[in-house]
Amino acid sequence: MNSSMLKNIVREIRGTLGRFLAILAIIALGVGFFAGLKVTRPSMIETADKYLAKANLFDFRLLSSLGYTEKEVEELSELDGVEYAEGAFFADAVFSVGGEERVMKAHSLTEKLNRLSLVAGRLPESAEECVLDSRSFGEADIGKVITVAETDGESPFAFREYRVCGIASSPCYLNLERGNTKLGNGTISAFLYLLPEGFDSEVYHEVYLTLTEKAPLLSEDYDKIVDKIRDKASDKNSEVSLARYSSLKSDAEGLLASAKAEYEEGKAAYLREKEEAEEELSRTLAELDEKEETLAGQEQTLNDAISKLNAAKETLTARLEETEGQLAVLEASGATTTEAYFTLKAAREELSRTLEETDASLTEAEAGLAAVEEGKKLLAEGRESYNEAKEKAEASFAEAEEELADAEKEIADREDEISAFAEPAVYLFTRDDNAGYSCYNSDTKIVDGISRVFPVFFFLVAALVCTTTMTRMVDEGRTQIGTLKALGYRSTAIAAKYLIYSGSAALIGCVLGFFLGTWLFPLAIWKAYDILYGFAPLEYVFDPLLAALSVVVSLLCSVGATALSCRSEFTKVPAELIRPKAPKPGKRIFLERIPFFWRSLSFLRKVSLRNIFRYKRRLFMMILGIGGCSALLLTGLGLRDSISGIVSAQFDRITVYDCMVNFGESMDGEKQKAFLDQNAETLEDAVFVWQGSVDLMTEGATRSVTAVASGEEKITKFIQLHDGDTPIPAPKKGECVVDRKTAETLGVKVGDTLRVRDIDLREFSVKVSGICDNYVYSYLFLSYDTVADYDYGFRAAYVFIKEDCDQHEAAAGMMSSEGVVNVTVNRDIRERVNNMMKSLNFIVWLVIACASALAFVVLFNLSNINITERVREIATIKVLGFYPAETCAYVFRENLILTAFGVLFGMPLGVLLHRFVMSCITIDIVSFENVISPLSFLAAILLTFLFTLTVELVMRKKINAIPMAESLKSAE
Amino acid sequence: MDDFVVFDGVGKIYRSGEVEVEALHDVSFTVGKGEICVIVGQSGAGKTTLLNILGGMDTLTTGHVILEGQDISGYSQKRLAEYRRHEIGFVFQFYNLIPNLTVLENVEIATQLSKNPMDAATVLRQVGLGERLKNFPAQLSGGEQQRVAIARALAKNPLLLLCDEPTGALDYQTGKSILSLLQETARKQGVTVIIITHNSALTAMADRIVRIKSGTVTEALLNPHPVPVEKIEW
Repeated sequence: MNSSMLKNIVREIRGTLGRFLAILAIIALGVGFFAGLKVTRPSMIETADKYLAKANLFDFRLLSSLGYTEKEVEELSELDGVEYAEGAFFADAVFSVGGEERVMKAHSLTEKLNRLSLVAGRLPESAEECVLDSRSFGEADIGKVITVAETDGESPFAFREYRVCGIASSPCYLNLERGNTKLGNGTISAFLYLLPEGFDSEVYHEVYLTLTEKAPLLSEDYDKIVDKIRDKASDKNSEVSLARYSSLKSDAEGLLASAKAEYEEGKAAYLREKEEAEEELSRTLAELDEKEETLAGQEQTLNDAISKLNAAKETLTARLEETEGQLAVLEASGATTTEAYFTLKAAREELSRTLEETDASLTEAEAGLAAVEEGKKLLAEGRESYNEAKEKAEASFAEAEEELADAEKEIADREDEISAFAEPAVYLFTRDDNAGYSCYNSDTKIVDGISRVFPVFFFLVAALVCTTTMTRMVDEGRTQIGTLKALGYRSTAIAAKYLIYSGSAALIGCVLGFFLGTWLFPLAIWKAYDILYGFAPLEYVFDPLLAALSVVVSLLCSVGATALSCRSEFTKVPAELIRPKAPKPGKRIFLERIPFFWRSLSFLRKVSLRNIFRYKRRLFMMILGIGGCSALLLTGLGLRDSISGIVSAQFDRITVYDCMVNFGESMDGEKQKAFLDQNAETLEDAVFVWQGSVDLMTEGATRSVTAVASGEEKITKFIQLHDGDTPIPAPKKGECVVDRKTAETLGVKVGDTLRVRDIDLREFSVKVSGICDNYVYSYLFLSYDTVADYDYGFRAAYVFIKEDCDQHEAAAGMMSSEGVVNVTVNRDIRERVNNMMKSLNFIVWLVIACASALAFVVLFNLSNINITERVREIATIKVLGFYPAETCAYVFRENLILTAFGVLFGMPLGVLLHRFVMSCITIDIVSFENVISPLSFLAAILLTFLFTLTVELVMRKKINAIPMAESLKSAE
Repeated sequence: MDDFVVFDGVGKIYRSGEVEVEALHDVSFTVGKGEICVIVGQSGAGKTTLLNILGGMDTLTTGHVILEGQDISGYSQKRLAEYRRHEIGFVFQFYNLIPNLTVLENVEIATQLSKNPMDAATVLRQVGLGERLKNFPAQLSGGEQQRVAIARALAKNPLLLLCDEPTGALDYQTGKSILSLLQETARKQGVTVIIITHNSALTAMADRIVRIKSGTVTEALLNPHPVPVEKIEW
């Protein structure tokens, strides 16, 4: 290559800058789109990798129902391949933050793992401080005090109040998912971190491990490392947990044994004491009885004596009276000196004395009797005290027996407990089980999915544009080629001009497109995902392989195409080349065989049609280019429809209720009525349900969904189940209705059976009675009868608010009702989903912008070629007297017709492309609607035509500038 | 009669940046209605510029060009297009047929524009192509293509038929037959024909001869005895 050839090339470029730029632009677009989309996933992964490496995210998370002590943590850390292990606490609780109740998950800060990224404030320094979730809280919340709500059971927390000292994001929560819980409405709204001392627990609840071997995030290497150690770690987890179980069990058994011994001893002592006491009592009783008997004997004797004495006294008295009488007779007789008298007198003396003696004896006896009475009284007292003692003893016996029975029961309970003390349940989770992490993985795959189709289009069109352009250029340069050949230049040297021309355009375009693409696309997409994963600024990735591939593909498209066009020309001899190329003969086209159609055309139209069908390559390129462009536009607009349609489809057609109310307790009939009465002023209607998180399982697939169980038919008024336009009746006992996405994920059809596992790991089966439309979240609808056995209770209600009431005010009103934990206004959720969808809009606009750029480049280039190829023809018809407008119409009619063809081809292609892209895009909580609105079809068509017309506007000038003198030149 | 076409002091200066090139300088001549005029000159003499100006394809710098009493030198672009459309029939050296139109259609494209066109098929029969109406230009020989071009020009019923080296791309015999066709039709239909050529021999067939050299008229004369083309040799 000599300098004049080089000059020639530079001049050629300068002279045909439009063409050069067209090649450059189409290559830049193709490469930009290709490299930009391809690099987005690596960029996103790199960003997350750096962030997670810095945070030192765990590799395994271990759980055991027994918890872990330092000993087990240490044992786990000694496992081969494990770098580090650290125990941590966590607990779900309802916290009150500034008067608002929130279900949050509290974690303990770990020293070396899962480091938080502070957004504001600082990490806790005392056990009474906490750091809050940056997604739900802001800097303004620092300094506030959060309060743990009172619960029935033991609180896992060391304090009731914690002061907020910082706001942070956690590597364990990459996206907005915060997980599920048994509390509240089942959804955790935010996390918070405390120092380990902030918890009140003897054992760690979980252990985090990191592995010694490192590998890039989401790489196959990483999966291999995980696979290698997972089973070992899992076994070790079981092992240490079992060891802990055994030691706990033997401890318990030891305790039981000593308790039993103590019991036996106590029982023996009791029995002994009881015997002694009883003996004593019976002895006392015997003594008392004896005494009574003695007393009774004494009384008898005394009474006998008294009656004897009395009888003796009577006799004596009688005898005394008789003696007195006799004496009186004697005295009367004066026989006072007689012996008889004296005898009598002595007898009287004797009798009186005996009588006196008798009286004395009597008195004595009576005194004895009184003493007996006294003895009796004492005896009664003795008896009384005996009875008392006996009673007391009996009471104490009963008491002791009761105590013993209690002890016995306790021992039995303990025994039962020990025998029921099951081996611990252990779990091992990898990063993939972390919701944020796995969502991130799948979201990056969406972009990858898109990058698989779109760039192919661009490159195909780019190749076509290059071929057409370069073929034209080589054709134009025929004479020059011939001349140069005649001058003795080798074909390769001549071809070099064209190869360098297209090659340099492609290279510049490639570099430009590569760097712009790999900068703009990841940035735009990262921005779009910002709402979901705003954890770090994007890391840009330079992929040398991708760069090399881009260069190769763009050179293939340009230089390859050029070489092909050159080949045919260079095989010809110079003489042939110097002569003008024979014009491509006019040919009848198939449309001419439809006379009634053909005859009805003016021949300006005929000539357009002939032109269109004569140049097959241009036709193909135009249709592919314009069709591709309109297909892309339609895809972009359709994506917008699918995305924005969701919100209205979901909230206007499916979940139409106004509010969801969560209750702290099961609402039975009475309580339901009370709630309804309390809010009669604002409530239009309400249905009480159970709502909770369940896992659905089929062979090989598991999916977490929200289960809604209702006992009332009218549930379908609040959540309108339908499949397309067909309403689905509420499920009956043993039946369920699932949303379409879930059904697809699990691969179930109507009539299939699903296994359902609730949060307490209880399982039951239901028959799928319907598959319903649903776009936001995933649902399983059940009849309450199906789950009645599990005693879930009606803990939630969907309500309609009366038309004239403000929804938030009504919600606030319900909040103050008894039992209400929280009230969610559906409109707020709608707003949130709407915001999320807006981020996707960004990607949509990107696609639309690229499609537009593609359309412009293709149309511009084709029009350009069309015009330069036909300069003579155009000049001729100008000479013939065509007005400028007619001249343009003559040229552009073709473009319009081709645009119409392109659009016709592009619309079905767009529908297919849209369907494909939709199948690639899966965001966990949202399933998209596969619709394109008629308006989007119209917009895509009109936009494509608008682009054609805009290009024509630019080209019009060019046509008008063609000098008519061109018609005088020879055909070239 | 003599002033059907009047060139009066026509000058044309092309400006290309700083460089000015005077292509025509004070060109004056007249052509009468129904005459065959041959303008002859060497390459670069200004023939094509003259043709461009007369054909309404270019504007002039000084002077006037009058066709049938109308001064076209002041015409706007639009008026010029109209002028080309209705008053001028053009025959190109390289025929300039539209490859995608059949012979008939190539003529029709012109008649469609004209206010008072002749029947395309009739004209084509007149030029001897009655059998080839449905053919495409590529299927015709050069002479036949030029006949089509002449038919296209004639069918518009123009005031003036401008021919730019009509035989330039044709062989001797064919060239002759084309010229004789032009002469014949001019005579028969009374169309004024201006032929531009570098071939002085053709002057013999003309009613009026204009010689130009270096952008100016060196000679303008009437040929009292035009001969039929067949008799001219070159």
